[in-house]
Amino acid sequence: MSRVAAPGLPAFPMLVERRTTSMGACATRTTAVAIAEWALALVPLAFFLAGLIVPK
Amino acid sequence: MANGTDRDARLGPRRTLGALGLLFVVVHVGIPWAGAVAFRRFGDAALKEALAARTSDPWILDALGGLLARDGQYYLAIASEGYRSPKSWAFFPLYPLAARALGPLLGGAPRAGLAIAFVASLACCAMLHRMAAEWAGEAAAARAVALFLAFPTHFFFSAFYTEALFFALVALAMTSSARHRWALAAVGGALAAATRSSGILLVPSLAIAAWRRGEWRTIDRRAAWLALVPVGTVAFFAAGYVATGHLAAPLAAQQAWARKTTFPLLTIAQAAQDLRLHPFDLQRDLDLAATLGAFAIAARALRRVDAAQSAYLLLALAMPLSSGLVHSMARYVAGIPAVYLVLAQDLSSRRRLVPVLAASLVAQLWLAIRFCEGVGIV
Repeated sequence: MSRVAAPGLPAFPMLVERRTTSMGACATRTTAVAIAEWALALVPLAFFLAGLIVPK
Repeated sequence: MANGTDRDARLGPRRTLGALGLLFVVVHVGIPWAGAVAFRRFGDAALKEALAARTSDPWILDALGGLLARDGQYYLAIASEGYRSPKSWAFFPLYPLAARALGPLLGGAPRAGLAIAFVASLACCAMLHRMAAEWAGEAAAARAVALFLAFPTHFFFSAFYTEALFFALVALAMTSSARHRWALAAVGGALAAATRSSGILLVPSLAIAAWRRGEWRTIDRRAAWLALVPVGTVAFFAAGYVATGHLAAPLAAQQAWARKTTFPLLTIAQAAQDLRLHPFDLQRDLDLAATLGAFAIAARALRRVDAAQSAYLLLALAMPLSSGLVHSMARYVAGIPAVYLVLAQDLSSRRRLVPVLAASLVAQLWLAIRFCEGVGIV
């Protein structure tokens, strides 16, 4: 097994720095990080906008 | 992470240190001085009266009293008289007790508390610099410290609040764990847990650090020291039980502050509903902006900082939001190290950094003056 570093993804080891056996596994984790990033940025914003739209 | 456009990287270390020192003096001497002038001239009469009941120190009554406004009043009451009201159990004990202990040496608990905040702020800068330098280089470290000092709600680090001491202890725990000094990390964590409720969040964050540094399959056995971290929280709950007969006095106090368990994202939606009904509320609007901004930073953090830092950032956002209020989020966000580690990497261009620092400092000055008048944000 070789240690494969995802290009441009040095920081979130739970998802991108584990020992991987193929670039396919690495790409999966890259996608997971991208999804987590968008979710973290957009989901709170969606709740904020929902609060603005839905009356109390 | 220095790059070609980064002129900071070309500054000599002495010049950078001098600039940061000057910024520290502006923020921790200049802004409190402006606050003191505002407190003398326009300070809230009720605040002045409450201070006069607890101290006769002319430096506090005529100048620095504004730094003891809002929650500072509760901390001063705890330092002076202990936990008398049910609401006071929402405030963890280490900071007010340290102010009380050092009071006889430093001319009273109010002065001692402000001195602790000043020294702890220096320690915060040193540890944040070290943390950022290890991860992203010297130039990014200088930017992280500058952004930390200029942050709009940084004035709470000069106030009679736990912010400075808590940040210093969290940074101590994190930098120690990075060096595998688990005993010191655990002591820092336990003290942080005795300073603020969110100190307990260091347990999962440092556990991630231990797990990650053990290459995931093995965990450094010395990380067992982390079991010490909850001691600070447990000791406070035990003291609450002895004093009130209520096992969860600190949790019950949260209800007295109108906080109740809520799904964190729902808290954001509820604050937005309030915003629609009453658009202009400085406290709520700043807290909402800080919350949304902090989630955007958390998203950036995934690729830019250590997993332990990312985890702490997310938990430190989720925990207060799970109380049903966005109240004080602008202050809580200022106390999360990862915020500055991310911003320092994103604002590597001087063209972007300087305007951000200038605008933040102006905002901080205005918010600090309002706070010292006794009518600012909490």
